[in-house]
Amino acid sequence: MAREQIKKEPQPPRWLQLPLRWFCTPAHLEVIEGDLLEMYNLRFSGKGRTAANIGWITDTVKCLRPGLIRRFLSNERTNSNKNPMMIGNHFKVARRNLVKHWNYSLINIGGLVIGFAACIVIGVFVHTELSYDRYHTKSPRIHRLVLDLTARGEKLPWAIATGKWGPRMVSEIPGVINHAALIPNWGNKSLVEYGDKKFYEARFGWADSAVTEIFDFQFITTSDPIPLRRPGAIIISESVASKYFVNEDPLGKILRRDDETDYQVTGVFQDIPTNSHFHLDLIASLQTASKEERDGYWGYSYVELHEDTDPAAIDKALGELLEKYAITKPNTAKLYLQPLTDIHLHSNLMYEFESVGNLKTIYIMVVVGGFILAITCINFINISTAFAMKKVNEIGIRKTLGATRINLIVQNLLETLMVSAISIVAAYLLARLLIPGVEDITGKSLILTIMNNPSALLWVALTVVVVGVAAGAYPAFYLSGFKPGLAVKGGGASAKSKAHFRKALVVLQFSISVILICGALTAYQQLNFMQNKDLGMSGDQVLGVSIVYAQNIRDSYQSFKNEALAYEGIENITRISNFPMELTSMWVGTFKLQGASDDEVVRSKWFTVDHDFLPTLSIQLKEGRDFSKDFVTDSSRSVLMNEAAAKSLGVTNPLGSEIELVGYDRKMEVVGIVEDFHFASLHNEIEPLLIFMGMGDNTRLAIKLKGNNISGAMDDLEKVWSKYEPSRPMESQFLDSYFNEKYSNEKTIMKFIVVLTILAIIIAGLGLYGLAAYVLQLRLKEVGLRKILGASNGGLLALLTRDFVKLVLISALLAIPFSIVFLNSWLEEFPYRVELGPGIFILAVGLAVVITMITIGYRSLTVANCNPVETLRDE
Amino acid sequence: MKNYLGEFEELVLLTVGVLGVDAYGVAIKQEMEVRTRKKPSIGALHTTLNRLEQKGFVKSWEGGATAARGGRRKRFYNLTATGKSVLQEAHTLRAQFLNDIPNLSIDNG
Repeated sequence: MAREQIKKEPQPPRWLQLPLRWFCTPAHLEVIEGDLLEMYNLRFSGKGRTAANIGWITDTVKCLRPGLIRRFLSNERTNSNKNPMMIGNHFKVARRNLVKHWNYSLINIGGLVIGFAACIVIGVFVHTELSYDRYHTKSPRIHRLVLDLTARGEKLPWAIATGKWGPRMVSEIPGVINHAALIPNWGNKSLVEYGDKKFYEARFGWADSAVTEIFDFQFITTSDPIPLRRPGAIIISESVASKYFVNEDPLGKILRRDDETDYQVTGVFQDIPTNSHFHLDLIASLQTASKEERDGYWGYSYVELHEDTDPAAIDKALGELLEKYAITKPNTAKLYLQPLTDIHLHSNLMYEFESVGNLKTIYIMVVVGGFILAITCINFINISTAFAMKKVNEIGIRKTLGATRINLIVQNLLETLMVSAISIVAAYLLARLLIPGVEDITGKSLILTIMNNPSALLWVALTVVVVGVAAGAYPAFYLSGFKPGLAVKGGGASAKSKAHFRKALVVLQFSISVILICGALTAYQQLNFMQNKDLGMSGDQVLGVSIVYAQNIRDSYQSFKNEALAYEGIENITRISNFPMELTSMWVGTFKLQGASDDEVVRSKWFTVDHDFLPTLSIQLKEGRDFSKDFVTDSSRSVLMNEAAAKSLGVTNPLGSEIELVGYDRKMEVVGIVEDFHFASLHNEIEPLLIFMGMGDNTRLAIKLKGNNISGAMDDLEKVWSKYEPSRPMESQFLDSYFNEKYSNEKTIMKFIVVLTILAIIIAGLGLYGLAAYVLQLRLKEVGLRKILGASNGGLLALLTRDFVKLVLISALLAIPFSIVFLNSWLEEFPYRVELGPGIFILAVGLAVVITMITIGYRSLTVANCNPVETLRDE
Repeated sequence: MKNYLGEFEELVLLTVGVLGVDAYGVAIKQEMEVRTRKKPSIGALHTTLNRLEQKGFVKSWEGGATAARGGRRKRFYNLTATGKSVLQEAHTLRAQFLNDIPNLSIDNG
């Protein structure tokens, strides 16, 4: 009767009930179980089965307290009938073994901890990369409008579009609910003022009011539910707010941008998290702009779709929309939607907000992480196996006393699982310590969220089990198969025959290490190569200054230049449209020889410059002449081109020929040809380039300093600057360091790989050390006999280390072909790259051998030096 | 210190007192949640109750299995005389301290 009643009430699944029954002290079990079941029922009727199950798990975990856990390690004889596997006893023996052979345990756990910690850090990094833009509530429904321009058969994928498309989409395409335009400051810094506080802000932008509805902004304080609704409104990030407003309420205060526009703060939001594809600290309302103005703006357009809308259908509707409004020729442009979550890793369009992530980096990380996990596992297997040999006596006794094979397998597996579980806890703590360093390397804040992330916890648990079982399985099955008689006498004979397996593992381990070493060395060489390659120009001692908002200097540039040049430390000044390697604001266009047909145009990049461009950046003239003040027409009728451009024109000597810029109604004479220089980073091949004067208003200064007193020269420059721009402090950067920033991605990979390689080597070294210690122990008597028979210490050392060095050399032989394949596929990405020479491989193998010698040398030396009387005495 | 009471112990003891004869695990937990807005776990509660029983502040008996508990018995707790006096002592001690704090009148709340 009572049983029937019980069955009606919901209960957690049986397997969830088992843990509590297993660990809880029998004296309190019934009452606690009853209480938990009652809670389960309450939650079940309140929030449903899943919530109740989760509650059950947390409640169970919270019962893990000293007072409530039964005593596993004591002789609970009353329990032994219920527990034929003697699990309590196994834990006890495992603990004793760990303590007794503490040196093995230390090596074992040490290797595991390092390996696991490295994997956790990699996991966190990869997780952060994959989580980009997924934190927005609406993220699956947010898309970005992007544009493919097709110019002369070449497709240019742009991340930007003009502002007019968003409103049109909302009004004319069903399924598009909302849109917001977001316009960045295009690499410029705005001077923002509040009272006497003045800072340059790089992360300034403009946006439609809907931006706070589409994206998740965490507002700390706002004066309006739609803070960007009114013209002149601005929302700012917490960190910017604390910079300008100390002990003041930012709301309603006026910020002045670039001495021309006033904005009123209507909201403060929490800093945009790392895993967003855009980061802005100040977002001003676009409502200030008139409709005509905003229609013409180039920026990012985001749309929110209705839940049931298929983006492909929108793409089709966009085609029709484009046809309806387009002024361009058909088939030259294509608008389409890009899912928000694809931006960071699955696209690399032109004019991206920030440099996006690289899927290849993630693959590299995952592969390296897998390598490290493999090395760690092998280590663990090796040491556990060697260690198990020490237990043959114990196993013999257990078998004699009636232990079954299953008993022994369970015992061994429990031991390795225990070690694995201990290690992962320690690894987690280590990873927490390592994360800040990794954040420094990657320049990103990573979030270690294992504890409150169920799927991460599952992964961790899975790793523990897989590693524990993988490492325990071999010794468990192998040892449990011993004949008791043999085992008690000492299973030395069979121990030796199985050494091949462990040797194979060592070879695998060292192969991986050699691959990693090769990778690290190559990454280092490539980075070094890119940073030191002769660019054909020089940013050394050249200051770059933006004058976008420095109106006075723009207006009276010539007198500024003359005054500055009067100082001894200032060698040359030029004014350009954009810095070299500043591709986002570079002119792009086509040109052709005068009179040539439209099929013969050359796609090219343009620098618009002022006099002295070539000398300031140390660019070499190959033929012809530089611009000169003696030729008045230079400012409108002359052009320089690089060798690549000259080559694409297809004439033997373009010097003196006339070219025209397509679409600009401008004809110029080629007066000089400059040697190819890398105006884009080394990730790009050198493209055709035109350099000419007098078009647009150039907004960058490059200033070459000279002499030994660079800081003095900079002071002089600033003096002249502040004479023209008293309210705008000068912001400058040396161009060579600006160029080097272009390689930060490679730098990150390199640092990562170097650190991980070192870790891998340490782990492999630990494993080798443990193995060597064990093998040498077995050979003590042999060494003693050899000594008595007259072997020298040196000879013995060679004998003992020879085997290991042989293994390492085999590993190297195996590793090199793999390394070549891997590294070549990585290097292929770079048009300018180092050649894979034999040097790297020789160095890697040499390193591996040296590491082997260091790890096993000391042990071998101890063994070779020992007194034969001591080792032989007991017989 | 003899008869020392931790903060959590004191709260549990008070709750047991408040609940009278109905004081068992889940009831204590719920009462504490209502009154303190803290959420003690069953595990923590039982550890504390065991300790309080060892110290002799509460006594307990088993009984009252229900279907919702899967047929398991409840363990009921009740304040002992020592338990009551310990609570009284703790209260008196605090009141004295509060009285001696300048500019703080507990009478006016």
